[in-house]
Amino acid sequence: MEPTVSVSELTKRFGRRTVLDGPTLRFGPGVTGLLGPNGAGKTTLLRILATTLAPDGGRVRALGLDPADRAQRTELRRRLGYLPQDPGFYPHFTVFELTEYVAILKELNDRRERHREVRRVLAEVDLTDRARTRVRGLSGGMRQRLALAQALLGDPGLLVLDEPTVGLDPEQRMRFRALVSRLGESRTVLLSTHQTEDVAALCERVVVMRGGRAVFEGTPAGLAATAAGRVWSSDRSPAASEVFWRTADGRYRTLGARPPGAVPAEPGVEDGYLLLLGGGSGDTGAAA
Amino acid sequence: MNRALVLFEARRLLRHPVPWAAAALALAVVAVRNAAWLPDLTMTAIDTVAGSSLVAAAMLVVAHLAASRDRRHGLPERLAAMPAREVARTRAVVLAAPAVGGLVATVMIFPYLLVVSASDTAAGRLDPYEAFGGVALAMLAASAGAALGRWTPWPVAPPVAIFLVAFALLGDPRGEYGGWFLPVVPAHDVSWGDRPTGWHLVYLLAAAVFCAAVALLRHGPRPARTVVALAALLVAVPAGASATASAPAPGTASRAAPGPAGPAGPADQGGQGGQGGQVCERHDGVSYCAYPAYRPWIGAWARAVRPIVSAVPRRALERIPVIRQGPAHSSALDGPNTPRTWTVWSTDPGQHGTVLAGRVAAAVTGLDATGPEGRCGGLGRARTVVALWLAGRAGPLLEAPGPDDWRGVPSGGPAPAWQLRVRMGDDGRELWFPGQLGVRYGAAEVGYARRLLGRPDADRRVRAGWDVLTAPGTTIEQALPLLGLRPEFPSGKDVPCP
Amino acid sequence: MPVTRSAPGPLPPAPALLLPLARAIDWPPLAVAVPLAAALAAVVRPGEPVDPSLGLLVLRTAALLLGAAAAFALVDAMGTGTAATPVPRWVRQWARTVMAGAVAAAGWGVTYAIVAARLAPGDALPLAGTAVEAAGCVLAALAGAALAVRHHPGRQAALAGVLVQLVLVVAARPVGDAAWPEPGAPHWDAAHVWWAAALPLFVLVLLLAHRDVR
Repeated sequence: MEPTVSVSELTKRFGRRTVLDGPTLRFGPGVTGLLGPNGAGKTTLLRILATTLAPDGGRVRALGLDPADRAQRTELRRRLGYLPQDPGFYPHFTVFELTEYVAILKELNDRRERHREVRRVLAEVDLTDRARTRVRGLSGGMRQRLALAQALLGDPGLLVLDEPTVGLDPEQRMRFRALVSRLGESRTVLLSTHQTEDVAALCERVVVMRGGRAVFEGTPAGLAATAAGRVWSSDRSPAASEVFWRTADGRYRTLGARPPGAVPAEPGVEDGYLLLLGGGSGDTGAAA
Repeated sequence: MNRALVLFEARRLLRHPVPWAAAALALAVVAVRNAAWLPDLTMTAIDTVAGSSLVAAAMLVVAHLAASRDRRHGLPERLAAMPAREVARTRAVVLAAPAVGGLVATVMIFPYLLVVSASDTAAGRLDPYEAFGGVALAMLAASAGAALGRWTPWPVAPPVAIFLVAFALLGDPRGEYGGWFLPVVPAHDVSWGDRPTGWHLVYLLAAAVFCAAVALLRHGPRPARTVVALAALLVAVPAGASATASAPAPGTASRAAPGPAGPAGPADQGGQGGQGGQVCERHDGVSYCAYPAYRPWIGAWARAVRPIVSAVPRRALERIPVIRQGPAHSSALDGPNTPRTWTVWSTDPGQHGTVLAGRVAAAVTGLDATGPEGRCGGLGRARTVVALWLAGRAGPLLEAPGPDDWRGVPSGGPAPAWQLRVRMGDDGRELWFPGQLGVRYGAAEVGYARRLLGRPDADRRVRAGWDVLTAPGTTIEQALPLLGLRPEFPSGKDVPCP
Repeated sequence: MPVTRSAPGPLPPAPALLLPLARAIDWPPLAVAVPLAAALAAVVRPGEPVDPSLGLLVLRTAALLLGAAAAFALVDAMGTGTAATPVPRWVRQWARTVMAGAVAAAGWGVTYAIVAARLAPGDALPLAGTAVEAAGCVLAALAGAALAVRHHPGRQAALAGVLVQLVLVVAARPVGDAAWPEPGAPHWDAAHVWWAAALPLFVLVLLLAHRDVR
């Protein structure tokens, strides 16, 4: 795979806190999910890739461009779609106006073409019939879709999406998955999420971050495979020190050492993720 | 009352850097301003409280932010589902913010006043009500900020409130229009008499309570809130009115009640209760009288003229009248050329000290009896040279004013080299003096005085020839051999002063 | 669904950018401040001429008020999301600065006209000096707010403008009326040379603060 985005030995500190501690990563076309606990450095990494934050050290290249160079950074921004974690809106703008404003900032200067593009992205996120609604009248999920529409403007070659599925209802999440997986056919899509199901459903690759480092890089199946032999199912509640939870069928799912009477269970992405981050017996995982 | 919520708000406000930064800046500014003057506790307290207005402004802003926090960051929806209602959060802010404001103002005001009052030269009277007024001011501002935050949560409200109040204060510093209903009345002169600080303190505290009740009334006119608001108003209005009624009109008070000029009588000598209710002390053969609270400044006045009185024969000191203190707002006491002091005194020796030294030099050489308009004058007189030499021993020797410069003062421009400009406070008032003796002289007199200042034996020559040199009829030409100088500068002629 | 690719241009046409930006600006603070400043000039000492000292105080208060209000124009609720667009941040922030500054200047101009009309015959307030002061007051607030909004989201960041103004006003107190001369003061011209010299400093701060956030 030819990488379209690469970072090497990236570092970033905020005051005395090291947020990125030298990860080296390569991303190619397709959808890559970033998983990690709060404060792992996902958002910081995405902000650096979205050119809104400069790293303290290391190198970044995206779509063949170096964001450290002003001209190349501007060029990269022309080919970039970014959905920040907290996008912000002008509440008195209509949906169409707000999207058009971002289109203007993306240098879509031809008015007719810009309007066509705005209508296209609003249709992509199913907001066509809300085009004349003021932003203050939108629900949280609709606002998230509006922000996603803005990220899609201009047919970006690189999409950086920070927790894009927050606030979406199940139907919209399905639509989002379909949209992103289609975009991922020809573009590089990086998304951070806490939803392991999203990663399992639409990401070809997954990076797990912890403490500013990448602790896993591979496929979702590979992440699930790391939990093989450490996921158990039992009909009795295990010891309190284990990471376990009661599933819909009334059985207990346990990560880590085998509890008495438990049988092996099929591991998933979530199991691999939790075990990677220290869940399971012998570590300080929390009972769920 | 939710005690935990009050403590939470208090801790947050205490950790806010803006009020503390405001206190540090205000303190620095007050200290720098006051360093220019001999300490006067009356004025220092007023200035410090006026400086604490910055703390009050900061408290207004942060209290507004705290009270309007509910309306930001999507909090309203989340907070609406809380068992603690909105009024509990308002109550927490209106209790915590004034307490924190009062604490920050206390930290800013009182240690500084204590340090100043410990100075040997600290004059005036420290009015505790004045100082507590600064604390109450910060409390009022915090309450007002909370009320504004509840009624007008827009962030532009604090700047609007701050600038409008600042406009009222700066446009009316003496309280002539708003009276003592203004939160600060920064202009004062000790001659105006006592300030109604007690009533004003009551007014400020009642107004703070009123604002707190107004903040709570945002959540509905409950009986307790309404009663508190009305009660606070019933206290604040009469207190403000009493303060306004008992405030002396500027310039009408009469702590300055000077007696006639002349040598110090026996009653004045070193004792209390001199003429005009002043206390007098004798230093180096010269009598100084001060308002009782300003006695610590007498030493500074004596130091200013010591280079003069130490250079003249003892018998000449009898020519120096009692040096009396007068109000800062009055330029004349016993006559325009009489040596005098004021209720302000700069630490810069080139200011009031130079004026006093010049007048003492003129007096000790007998040049003190006429006005500056020149019925008689010092042109061509030996004693003018001696007086200028004496003044030059005590401080800077100015250039000579031109013939027309004696008649008036220029209307603008920087101070010319022949003019002495003395600041009479921080409010921009200045006294302008042509020359430094109060009698007319010219470039020749200044030139010879400079030559004399350059002679190491000048002291001995002046003492030896004192009677001749200071005689009214002795001309410069006659004096030059006595002074060891040669003719250099053509001098004019004046009618000799008697 | 077909995806069209738009050809990017260097900068969007001014109206296309300025119109939505003008709508995005938080105008209510200026909508409060402009009439308030004018009203202050109109109602102070009603029924009698305004003396130059009071007129000058009105103009200075108006300038501070308008500057503090204009500072709110620099708060960009969408700053995070639009930071990654090719139109540079400085273009957007300077457009906001110029628009808000122009409205503040117009508001101050109206205030000046009212004050000038209310002066007693023979009295005058020099326009150049007072205007330079006003520009300094407005630019100081804009500069303070520009620095704050660069680092902090939310409208309250704009209050940094008024804090900067207060700091400058208070910090100038030790020099007495040297920084804020009275009308006809001997150092009026000299003081305003200093004011004029300070303006580029505020502009420099704005230049730095309006840079790209990265």
